[in-house]
Amino acid sequence: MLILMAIGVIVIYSALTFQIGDEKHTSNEYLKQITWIIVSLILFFIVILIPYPLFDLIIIPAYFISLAMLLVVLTMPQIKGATRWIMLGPFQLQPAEFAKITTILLLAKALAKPYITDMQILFRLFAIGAPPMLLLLMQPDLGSTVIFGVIIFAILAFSDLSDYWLILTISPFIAIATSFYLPAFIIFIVLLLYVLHKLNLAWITIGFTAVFNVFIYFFMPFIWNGLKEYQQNRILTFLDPTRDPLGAGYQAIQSRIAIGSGLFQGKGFLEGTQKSLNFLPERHTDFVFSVIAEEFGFIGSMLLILIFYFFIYRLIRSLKAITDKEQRLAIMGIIALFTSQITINIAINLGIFPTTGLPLPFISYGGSSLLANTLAIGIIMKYLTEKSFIR
Amino acid sequence: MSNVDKIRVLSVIFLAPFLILIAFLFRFQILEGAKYKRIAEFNFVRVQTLYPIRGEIYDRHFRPIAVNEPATNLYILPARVKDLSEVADFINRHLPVTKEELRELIHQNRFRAYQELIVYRNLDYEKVVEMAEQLDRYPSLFFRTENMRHYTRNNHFTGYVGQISRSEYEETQKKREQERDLTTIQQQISYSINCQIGKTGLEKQYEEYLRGKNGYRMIQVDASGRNIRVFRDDLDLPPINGSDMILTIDLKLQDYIESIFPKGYNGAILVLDTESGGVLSYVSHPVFDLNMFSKTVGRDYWSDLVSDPSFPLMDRVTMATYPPASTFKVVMTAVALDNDIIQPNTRLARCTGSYQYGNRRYRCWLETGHGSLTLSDAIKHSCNVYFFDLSLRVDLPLIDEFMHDNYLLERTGIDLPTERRGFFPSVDWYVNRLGSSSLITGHKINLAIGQGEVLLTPLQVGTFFNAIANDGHWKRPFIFSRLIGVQNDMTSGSAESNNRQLSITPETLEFIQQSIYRGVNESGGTGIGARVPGSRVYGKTGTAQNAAGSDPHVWFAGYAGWDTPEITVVVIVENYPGTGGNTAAPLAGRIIRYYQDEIRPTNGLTLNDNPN
Repeated sequence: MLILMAIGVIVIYSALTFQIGDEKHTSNEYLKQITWIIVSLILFFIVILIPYPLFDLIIIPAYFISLAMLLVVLTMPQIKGATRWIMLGPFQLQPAEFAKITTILLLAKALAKPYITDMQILFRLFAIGAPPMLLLLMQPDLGSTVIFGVIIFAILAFSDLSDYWLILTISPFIAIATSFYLPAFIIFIVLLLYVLHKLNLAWITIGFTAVFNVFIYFFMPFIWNGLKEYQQNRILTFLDPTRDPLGAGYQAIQSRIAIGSGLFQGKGFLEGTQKSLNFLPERHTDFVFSVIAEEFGFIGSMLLILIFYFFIYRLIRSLKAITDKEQRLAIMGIIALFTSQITINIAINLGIFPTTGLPLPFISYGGSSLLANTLAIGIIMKYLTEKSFIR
Repeated sequence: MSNVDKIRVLSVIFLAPFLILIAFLFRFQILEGAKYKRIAEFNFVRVQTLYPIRGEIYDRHFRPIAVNEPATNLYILPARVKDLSEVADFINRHLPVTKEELRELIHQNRFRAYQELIVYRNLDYEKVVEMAEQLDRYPSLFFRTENMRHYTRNNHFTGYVGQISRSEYEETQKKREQERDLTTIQQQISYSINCQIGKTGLEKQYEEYLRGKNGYRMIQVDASGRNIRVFRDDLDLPPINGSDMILTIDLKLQDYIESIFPKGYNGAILVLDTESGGVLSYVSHPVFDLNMFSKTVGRDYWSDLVSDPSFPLMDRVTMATYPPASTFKVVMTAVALDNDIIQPNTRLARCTGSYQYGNRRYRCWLETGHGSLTLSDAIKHSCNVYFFDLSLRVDLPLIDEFMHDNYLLERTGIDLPTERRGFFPSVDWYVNRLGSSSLITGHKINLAIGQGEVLLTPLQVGTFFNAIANDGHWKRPFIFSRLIGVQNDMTSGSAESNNRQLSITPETLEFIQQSIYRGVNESGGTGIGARVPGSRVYGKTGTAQNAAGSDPHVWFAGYAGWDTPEITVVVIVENYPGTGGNTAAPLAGRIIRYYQDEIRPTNGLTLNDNPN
């Protein structure tokens, strides 16, 4: 696991030395990032060394602190059309990153209670998951909200919830996703009916679930009109990128040009041309992948994706050694967090997902994300080491 | 499902999205790679910003004041510079731009190599031809014809536009970042480092309206960067041009006043439309060449302006404060009458040409003396002795309070970005200055005739006299009238805070009006020079003595009416030989006569029937 961290660190370092400026001028962001890495590693060891009971005790207050930070952030002045950062002197804190982790931990804690009914699971899920998601939507931070959704489903799927309730909870969201395109929606309803039938449920239950989903289909236009114009634009542009190449699709197109022009072996370290054209305004943060793909080509970027998968795979493997239910749920949430964050970010870079502000874990420039991600790995490491203590 | 099985399933489920990503990566980089490579290396698809045309400025009869004219500008694209010193030498051979200046320009923008930078504005046609012949050897340089601001008249109210400064640019960028969502390019007021921005005057005050909004166009640039063609023209977002503006200024009157302003002297003449407070003419001398700022200003010209002892850059209407001299006697009169200190027919000390207080002699302007006068006569003759004596009966705080209550000390709030306050010394100020309050009386005697520490801008004096003409209704002065061709609520005037009331009783006001009418129209009145047959002219002259040796500042402040008061005129000329009565008043008279003969008949005409 530590080896993996080291790989991450190396990638950050290399990613950050080439990405800004041309060969004459390099911006000093990479130095700041190294500082953040050191801070993160210190935090990483602190987390591992904290006694488990004490760690257990901080979960609930930490959750409420992160909620409070999400509230505070709403009062901050807007940057780029949204309020995501808390200004602390020279630092900018992005509380969404920390809220993800505290919510995972609290959810795991709440859902791991023995002898819990389906209704209790759903209620707790709603009580804990809804506040941060609502606050994120108010920022508005569509990207983080989606990540939250994935995390919650992952934890839900791994919890004691019965299959029927799981389907009933998840199906409306699939209904929303498919409601843009009628054939897809029909296929979804048919599949839904088939799965429900397989579960040997009463016809009345099956009927209710189906009608419920069809209702959502017709209800969607009203929700759609409630979205902000730029959010609508993003979704529409996602469905048809050529619709608005000047606006939301612009970054996606430019990012894809950068990636595509990298070809098989890339243009070489520091040799990228697209980045210096200001085509990619967020090239050292959210669009760092396109810089890697342009300079290191298919080989480099595929290698990076494989490293990421290996990283996720190791996290999944760690479940083998853990028997505690709460810890398993937490690890599951963290796996979902990383997987969704990594894949969605790369998908945005490839122009196959709507552009929303999401950093690439361990690679993108930014202290909050780095700290939060290191913290998450630290927690898993803690679970693993703690176990050996007990033995 | 056993634990191990579950983990195996999970590994596969989570592998899926990664494989999908790799598949896409394969498609973009291997299958379609050549296409993207071509786009990236040979055809830059770029968003070109289309800048709006700046709104033009016209006078009330649509006569142009600030317009746009085509000009050829020289640009450089740093990314294409091969040998900087060679390029610099070339530019330096033809234009007054040194190698250091060019290097500095490029260094400031070093993180944006593909940002075009403006090197020199408004090249002469000969220079363009001369340089164009050799331009092939310098692919980083190119010409572009753009709109340049041209001012038809040099004045102090329009202000000027100039190259955006680094700090102004960063400020606008910051504002833009806060206002917009990063992922969409919205139509907005935004600037590039090459833009011009309103620096002073109306150009700055109404920048938002004059500027317009940027448009965008997707263009393809080939390897040489020259052949630009539109990428997809259905995506064009045309710029929204700035709004044209109509001012309250009457350019004909403005020109006339400029033409009669005493040559070689400095000062200001302000004419207001009495009823609204709109500025009809706004003259401040000396003027400077506004058009120099639309070009790349030569450093020599700038340093000449700054070091010129007559301060041509100073707007004397709003930014210069003068002792109001005898025009201030109107204030003293109002304070004295409204506080029942004296009555209109009260006769004070007999004027023998001077006034003795302590061991100092204060002189009246008429050495032979005015004899015993009533208040009205004292105003008409502008007798100093009467007001010296009056000053002993009026407490300083009373005057201070009156000045505050009648908006003489605050800024008038005219729609220009800079304006100075007036100043009136308080008791505390004197105590701090002189160490005790015992010497105040001596200063107060001077203050009574508007000399000494009291300082007002011509605009403040004008606004005050305008309120007297309006029977006490104070109007906020303004220059901007309306925008042309825009559905917009932007009109000036009407707001609550623009209309106030002087704190002078109607009786006192009427007395003041009568007295200053007599001062212009009766023989022996100091303002007789401003008399215009056919018009009812009211006014007060003033002569502010200066430090020994130099000539005084001469004043006239008053208004003229036909059925009702129509225009308010303030004249001040610095260091002019003579008195307000024999210099400033005749100037005001000529202005009023010109207005009566030439301007008044055209009033009420709309834009459509242009008088010229």
